[in-house]
Amino acid sequence: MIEGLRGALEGILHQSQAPKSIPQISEELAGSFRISSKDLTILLGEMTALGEIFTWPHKKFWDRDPRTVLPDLILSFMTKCLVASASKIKTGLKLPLEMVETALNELAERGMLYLWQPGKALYFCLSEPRKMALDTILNALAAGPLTEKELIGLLRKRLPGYQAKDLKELLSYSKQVYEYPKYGKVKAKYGLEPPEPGPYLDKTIQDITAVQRLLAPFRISLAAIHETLGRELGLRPTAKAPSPEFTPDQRTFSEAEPLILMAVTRLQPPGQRRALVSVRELRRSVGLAKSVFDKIVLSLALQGKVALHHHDFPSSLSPDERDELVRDEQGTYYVGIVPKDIP
Amino acid sequence: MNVNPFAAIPNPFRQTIVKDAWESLQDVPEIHAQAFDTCCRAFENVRTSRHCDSVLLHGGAGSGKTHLLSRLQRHWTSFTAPGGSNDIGRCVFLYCRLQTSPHRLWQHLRKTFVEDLLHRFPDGTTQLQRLVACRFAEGDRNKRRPPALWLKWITNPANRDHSGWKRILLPWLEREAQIGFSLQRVLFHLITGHHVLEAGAWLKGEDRLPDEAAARMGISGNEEGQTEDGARELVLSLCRLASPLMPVAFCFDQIEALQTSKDDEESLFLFGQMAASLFNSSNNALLISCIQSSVFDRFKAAIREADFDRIAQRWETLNPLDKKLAHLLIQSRLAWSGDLGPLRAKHLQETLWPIKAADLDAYFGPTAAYPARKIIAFAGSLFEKLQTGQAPPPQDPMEFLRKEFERRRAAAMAQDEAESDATLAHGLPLLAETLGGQWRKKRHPDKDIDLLLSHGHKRIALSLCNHQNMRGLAARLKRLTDWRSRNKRSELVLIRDGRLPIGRTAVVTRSRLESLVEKGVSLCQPDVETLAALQALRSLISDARSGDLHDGGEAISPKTVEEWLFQNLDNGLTAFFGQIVGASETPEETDSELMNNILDILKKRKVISLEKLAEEIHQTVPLIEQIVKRHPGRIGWLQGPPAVLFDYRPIEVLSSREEDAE
Repeated sequence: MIEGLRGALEGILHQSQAPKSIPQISEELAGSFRISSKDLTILLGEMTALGEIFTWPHKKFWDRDPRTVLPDLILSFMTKCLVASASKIKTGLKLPLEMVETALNELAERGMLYLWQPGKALYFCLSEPRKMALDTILNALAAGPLTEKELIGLLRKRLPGYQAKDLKELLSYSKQVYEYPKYGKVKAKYGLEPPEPGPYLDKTIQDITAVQRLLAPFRISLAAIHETLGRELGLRPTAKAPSPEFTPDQRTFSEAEPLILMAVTRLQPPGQRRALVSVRELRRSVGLAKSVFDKIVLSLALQGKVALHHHDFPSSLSPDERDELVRDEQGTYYVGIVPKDIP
Repeated sequence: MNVNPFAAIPNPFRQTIVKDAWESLQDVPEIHAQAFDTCCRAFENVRTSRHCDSVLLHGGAGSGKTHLLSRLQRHWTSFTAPGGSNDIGRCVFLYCRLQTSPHRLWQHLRKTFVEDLLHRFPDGTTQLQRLVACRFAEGDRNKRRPPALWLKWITNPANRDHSGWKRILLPWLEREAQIGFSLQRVLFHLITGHHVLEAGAWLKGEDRLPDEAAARMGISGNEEGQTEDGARELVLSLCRLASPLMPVAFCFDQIEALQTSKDDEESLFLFGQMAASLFNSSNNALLISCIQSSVFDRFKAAIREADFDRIAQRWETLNPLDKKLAHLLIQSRLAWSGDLGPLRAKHLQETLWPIKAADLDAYFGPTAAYPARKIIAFAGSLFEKLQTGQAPPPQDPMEFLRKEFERRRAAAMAQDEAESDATLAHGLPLLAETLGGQWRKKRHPDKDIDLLLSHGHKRIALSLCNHQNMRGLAARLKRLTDWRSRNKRSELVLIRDGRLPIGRTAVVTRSRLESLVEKGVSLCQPDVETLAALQALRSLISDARSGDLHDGGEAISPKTVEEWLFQNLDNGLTAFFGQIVGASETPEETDSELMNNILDILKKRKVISLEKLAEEIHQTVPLIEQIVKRHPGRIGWLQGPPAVLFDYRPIEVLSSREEDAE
């Protein structure tokens, strides 16, 4: 009869998904195997001593060794919450902290869990925290641009204690997220695509509308103003998105160089590759900041992509007229630019 | 004793300016090769398409524009016809430097056209003869003679009076070229070698041809004198002589020299109109126009878009030269020096010897580029250092200008009276700009008024009366008498070269002139020294505007020239201008002493009332007033009342001083 009882106990604990207490085991025993709690305790003690079953905290028994099973239990628990402190895991598994911490440390050492410590508190994560943060950011931004505050709020739900500095540091390595500049009432934001110029042009649009109203009596249409703006700014609506391989500074140069070369070609009469283009006209056409424009024009000359024609008597010009030209370090003022044929 | 081997060798880099495209120069074909090819393609296009073409060349001062034109000239005029023994050329090459009044552009072009048409090549033939030979060969249906043989026949003195000339040439001129009777006759004489001097003078528009000479050529004189319309008609007639096999290549250089001031856009506009007119009215013309890069913006803005399109069918740029081309340029100059040859033969490995390649490297750095003239000047200074053992002394632009003015004035003393009209027409607005920035200059619509100066309520109309043909002068004086009666509020000043006499027999002319003078019209008769000084002034300013005035490779600006002229102007010129704008009499010698006193006080006081100044120098107010009026460019004058005098400085001088102070 004892042998039969042992077999019944083993069967109950084997089928169980978790350790069981003595009352739980007793309740599951069939009527012929029902014994007193005292006898059951003794029998379970004997089986434990023989290594047939294992004692678990809180006077529970199971046929699985806690040292072997705990890491899996923890990982299983972590799949539900992704990030948790040791105490939270302890509470969730209802296991002693000491035992859980030992298992967590082993898991971290084996690279199966990652540590995340934004402050004093230590958290355990199922994924690498940076990757987790980036995935969180990319998922969140997929729906549209977000402010820094909104992003951090989302991140803190996944990674407790996530700070703004962590976000900035992370994005400084990231090549997938654009930081949209703050401009007037437009807040700084993050997005997966280059910023839409629309929000930045709210005030300009108001101004243009006002100009259109002002000129309406002269039959100047909005289309005419649009055409003039396009001509004056020399901007093309199909301008390429910035290449993600470059830093913002490199981006300015790498984008502006072809922009200037394209503008030179555009300002030349069709088919006249050797026609001189006025630096003044070119400057007005590309609409870059003076310092950027000057640097790029001189850099293009240094690279041998263009030839610059100097002004012989710059002192005969007014300061404003001189300012429209490009000046190099030697004080030479350049008045014209011509693309050079690459041999 | 060690002798410096370079001391006696002429510096091979001394010549830095190409005076005109007819100069034969050593050339480096690699320099501006692309621009050369573009011009050649345009030229071939004219020949094959039977339509005009044009090239706009732009480059900085000293970039080699005139040098390129010279290369084109040699290329197009020294072509040997297949199977022919003589060079007949491939075009009528015309080099027109635009140092002229913008209101006499066609007259200037006419004169240049004719001079170049009569340009004589080393083989003794002229462009006109070559052109006719080519046209005869074209018209020779049986193709018995190629152009070279026709040229030989034409230039053979034995054929001068051949009966075939009249039978062939005159009908051809009338039928093919559709030109007028007088021009037909004149060309006939020029081609057949009769009355060449007289025919040439008539063709150039000179009016000094005596009636007898005109009669000998079988033409009548022109009482109207030369006009822009007449000159235009003649130029276009001459263009009609050209054919696809022998087109006309017009090369316009120094367009900027047309400007009477930095802001003068009218002259550029007029050039655009003239060039477009040539383009529209001919089928066999190539226009090559050279403009400085720094004037390009203004040029484009000043002329009509349609005119610009005609001038710039093709664009070409004369870029600064990189180190590789600079190397070639220096090497070529050294190689052309015969004296250096034996010395250089010992250093075959060093292509730039005796110049060190390292010096050139240091000058250029990794990527710099310079205009050809600057590179030559740099190499010249290195060579001079080898010759003297020390670097050339620093440049003194003021001293350079003084010497240059004197040199040009001395050269102009040799000019004859035929040049005076052009000198005055172009030089007077420049003199007015230099001396009296306060005088506004305008072209009057009346063809007999060459320049209108105005200041406040004062208006002075200038009429150039340098006619050598008395009938022409009498006709103009008659028209001026009428003009005077219609424009009583303007003062009229007649200007006539002092060397040009009015003959005793020219009774009508004398009487009309005396009548005008009696009515208060002034007559100024500048002497040869004054005209020579004016010629020097206009050529200095024009060269400076075109970037062709330089000292050691550094271009001297028009502003510097005007400042120097303002401070050092020839007394004769100052007095001449004073005479034009102030009083009818020639200024007296006592003027200069009084002027010195006035200027001395103004220098100290800056501003003073006329009355007070007269009191201080113990002179009467009317006398001071007269003197001040004679020297408007030197003394500022506010009419008042009360009349106030001030230390006058042109705005350019003031602005440059402000910049210096900065």
